[in-house]
Amino acid sequence: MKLKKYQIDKLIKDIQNSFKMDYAQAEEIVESFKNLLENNNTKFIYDLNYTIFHRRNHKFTKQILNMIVDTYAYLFEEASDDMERKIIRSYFEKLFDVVFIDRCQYSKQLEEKSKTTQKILQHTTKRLNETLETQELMIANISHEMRTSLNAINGYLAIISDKDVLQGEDKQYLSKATHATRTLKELVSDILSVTKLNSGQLEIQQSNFWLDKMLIKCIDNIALMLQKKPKLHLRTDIEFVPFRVYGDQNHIMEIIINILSNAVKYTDSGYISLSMKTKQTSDNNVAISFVIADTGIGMTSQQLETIFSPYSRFKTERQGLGLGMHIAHQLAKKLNGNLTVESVFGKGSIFKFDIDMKIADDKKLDIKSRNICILNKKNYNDTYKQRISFLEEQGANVKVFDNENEFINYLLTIQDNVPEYVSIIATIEGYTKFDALIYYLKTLPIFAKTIFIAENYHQHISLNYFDEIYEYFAPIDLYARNKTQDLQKFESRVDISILAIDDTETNLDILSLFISKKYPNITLDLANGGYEGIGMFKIKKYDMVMLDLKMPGLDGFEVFNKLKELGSPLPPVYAFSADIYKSNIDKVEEYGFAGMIEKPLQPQKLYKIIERIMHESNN
Amino acid sequence: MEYRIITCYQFNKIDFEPDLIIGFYQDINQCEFQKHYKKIQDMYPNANVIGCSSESNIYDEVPHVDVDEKHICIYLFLKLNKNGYKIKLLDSNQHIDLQDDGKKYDAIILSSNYSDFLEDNIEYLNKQLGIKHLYGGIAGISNISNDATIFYNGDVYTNTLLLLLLDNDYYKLDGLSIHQFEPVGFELTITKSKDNIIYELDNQPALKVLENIIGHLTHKKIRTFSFPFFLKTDDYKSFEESPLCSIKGINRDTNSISVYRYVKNNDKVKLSIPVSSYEQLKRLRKFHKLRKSNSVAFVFNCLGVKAYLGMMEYLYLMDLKRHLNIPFIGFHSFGEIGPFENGGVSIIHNQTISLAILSAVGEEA
Amino acid sequence: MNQIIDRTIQIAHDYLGAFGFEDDKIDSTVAKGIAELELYRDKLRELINKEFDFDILDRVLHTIKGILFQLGNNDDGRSIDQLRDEVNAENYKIKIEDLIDKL
Repeated sequence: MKLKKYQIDKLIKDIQNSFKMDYAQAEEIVESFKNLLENNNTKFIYDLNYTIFHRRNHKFTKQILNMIVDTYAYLFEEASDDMERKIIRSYFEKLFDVVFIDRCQYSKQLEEKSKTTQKILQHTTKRLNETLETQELMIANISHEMRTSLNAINGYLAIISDKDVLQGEDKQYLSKATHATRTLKELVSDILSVTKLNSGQLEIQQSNFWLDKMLIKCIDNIALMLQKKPKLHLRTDIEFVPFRVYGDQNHIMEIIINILSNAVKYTDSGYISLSMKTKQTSDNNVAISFVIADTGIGMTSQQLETIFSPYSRFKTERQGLGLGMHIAHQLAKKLNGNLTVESVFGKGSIFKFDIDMKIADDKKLDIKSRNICILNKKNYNDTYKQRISFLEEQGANVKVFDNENEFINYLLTIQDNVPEYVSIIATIEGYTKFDALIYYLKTLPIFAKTIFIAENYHQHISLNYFDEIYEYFAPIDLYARNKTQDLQKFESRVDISILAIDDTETNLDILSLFISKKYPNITLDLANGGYEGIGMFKIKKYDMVMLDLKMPGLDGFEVFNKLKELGSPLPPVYAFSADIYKSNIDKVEEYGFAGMIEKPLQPQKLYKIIERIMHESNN
Repeated sequence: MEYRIITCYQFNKIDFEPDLIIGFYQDINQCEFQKHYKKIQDMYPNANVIGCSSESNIYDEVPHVDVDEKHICIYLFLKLNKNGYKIKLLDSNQHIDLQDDGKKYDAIILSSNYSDFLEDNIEYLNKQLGIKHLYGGIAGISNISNDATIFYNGDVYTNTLLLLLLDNDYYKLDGLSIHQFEPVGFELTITKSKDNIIYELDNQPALKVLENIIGHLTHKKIRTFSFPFFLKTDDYKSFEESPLCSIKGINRDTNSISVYRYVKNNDKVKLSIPVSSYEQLKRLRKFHKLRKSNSVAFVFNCLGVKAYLGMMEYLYLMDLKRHLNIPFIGFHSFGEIGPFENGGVSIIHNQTISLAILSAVGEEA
Repeated sequence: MNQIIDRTIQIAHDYLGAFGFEDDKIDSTVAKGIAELELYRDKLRELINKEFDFDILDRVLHTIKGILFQLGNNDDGRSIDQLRDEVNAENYKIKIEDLIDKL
């Protein structure tokens, strides 16, 4: 079929107008179209299809479609006879087939293929999830088993260390082995924490607690690390919060300790600052913001991006697996908090942990009529003032001194209404002046129940040399301590000796653990069996004896008789037994034991007995 | 270098004396090709004629793929320096002998079929003879009752390799192979196999493993070549650099899968999914860097590409033509030879579009 | 095998940890406790194969019970007490064998 010139001209013009083409281009296209109609050259159709493919523009495709339809309609109308119309129809059908129908079919095929692709991806996802779960379980189990074995290794190393038989190099090797085990234990614990977090096994345990007390524990946790870096100082700016909060204390501590440990790890000199600010958002809620800043090595922007990813560790010579920050971040999310960081490389970092908590529905602090005496030579910050106001609001009688001489004079001359708490806020060097005074005051009966507190906010917290005298960096609830608990402070000054006789080392170990923790000044001698016990009793004077009843060889009753026969006054002897039957109790009473201590050990009962002995010894 | 691409109906359009004629013929039209050879022989008695069968041909004119079966026999006529090339024919168990002439070569391989022999020779050419630029295809068939064949100066061969070696002092080849898939999912280990049949994957019946992932398989579904395996042997570090391996068929009696190349126990496979259309184009555009003037190209498209891409195949070829703007000739093969990266090691593939560009040294721009 | 000991290890760490003891101290105590449990388990095994002596057996069971209690494993400790109350010799022997197995 041949196109007439006017038809060609019209087509050229239409193409020019529709597609904003120049004449030459439009002419070329029409020429190709002509070739199709006249010579059955299908190049035009494929070129058109390619153009649509290349442009990938639905508006353009629509324009093409319109052009095709218009051209078809025009030529169809212009056709001189049926034959021409038939030819036109057949070419346009072919055009539609190639340009549109083929495309539709291809799309359908693609749809089928994408179904298969989806199946493959679903299967892969399912297997990936299964594998991840299995891996996590495996890691948890392995870590658990590792931790058990590590505990055992650590335990046996500790036993060898306790025996103190190694010398020189061997002792060093033992120390290194112990340290390495400890490090490995921490790493395994971290891995376990991560797997617990990832598998959603983390339990949130909420309770009421004091924020300042929690922060003291956090600081205590890094005290040893700080000691090893003398050029690094800790600053604190902890807002006074006059109420307890309700939340997961342990996990919040974990977050803060992780950040603090990191800060110490990556800061060799300068300072680390820990601050806490609160804002009461409603009657029952408070928004808390912890900020930990350091003058450490800082992070680059790339490092910042991955700081909370697992296993991100920037300097390989610094210890650790790189899980601490990841754990902290995940924990923060779990607690519905937010942990963020800003950093400047070479200058330091600032970590901010924000969390909303409920205000505890608590009874007020029971410090009515308590006498509190405070010496504060210079630290009159807002926190201090708020504290004093709070103590006074709670009914305490607070006497504040800013003059040392007046303070000392007051303590030396007081006869009645002796303060239950004497708090000194000074520099580290400042405390040394009061050593002799405090030692002296503690020997006076009227100060028997007084607790001496060294509140020192801006220096190294581990004040080893104050440990014997002071509580330090006191949390607010110290003032609410039960009076009977105060006795322990006084009692710990008295050296009493206790002999424990048991054939089972574990029992002796447990006794030793509990007694030495509570009463580090008590001398506790351990005898592994009746004969050994008698031997030790012969050569030393004891204030108390604890005697296991069921022992091979000489049992407890026989040992008791032997001790009586030795002639010297028998101190209180307590039977130590797991068989608390009436017949046994009667027999114990009959023999003349001072009393019975149950196994398993109930620490509070044991402490009461010891305190009674101490009190009697002292008086 | 003078060249012309023609069909069998255009012999009178040649205006130079060719030295080498490369032709591809649809297997069912092998007789036609042989008939035309006689004509060529009469016209150009000194010309070497080489070629192979194809499933269908790829020609230099739109739409490039032979939709109407108009180009059942196609030819590339080349005028080459006689010293610039060699033709070697190898049957099974032969290695090429180049008689250490100190020359460097590039090579086109045409193979009648896939075999250990082909694999060995490719490795031999690569490693022993240092022939880095190696391209080619495995002859195809459209009728399964036919054998794929190699043609050399009037004779037809099966189980044969034909090598066209091009002396680098005169000519060179450049090229690339691309595919449109990426590996996905977990790797599966071939735990029982023989030749090109996989009986077990991860100690489970292979067909069951596959159908567990992609659903029930039919022969129709297999003919779409929609899910080739990535086949990782010890030679490859990752699946991404491993060749594709198309599924040929399944056997429900033995729960086995046959593929288009040999596999062995402990080879690893991964399923594949098609890349996005954006990525398809991106990969296609890698060819554009090969553009040179005064050159011709050979296109070896896997039959799987034709089946998988459908109408997109000719659009991609048109795109290639527009961007490279060099004439090409090619066919739908049952395997291709080429590197994944320009200058990389040539391996045997399935389901690739492979291109080899021939140019004369000093003439290319 | 080792069920009771394994259980005791877990319990002991939590139990003593709750009192705020340091890890090192806990590990050392637990290690000693477990070593003793193993020792007394072997003793039980030895005794059960020899001629029966109720008194010695009872003393050993008492010791094991004591260690378990001290390490916080009250449940297993109590079950040993119940075992000690068994009057039938045959059942007593079976229960001790069972205990050795589980210990």
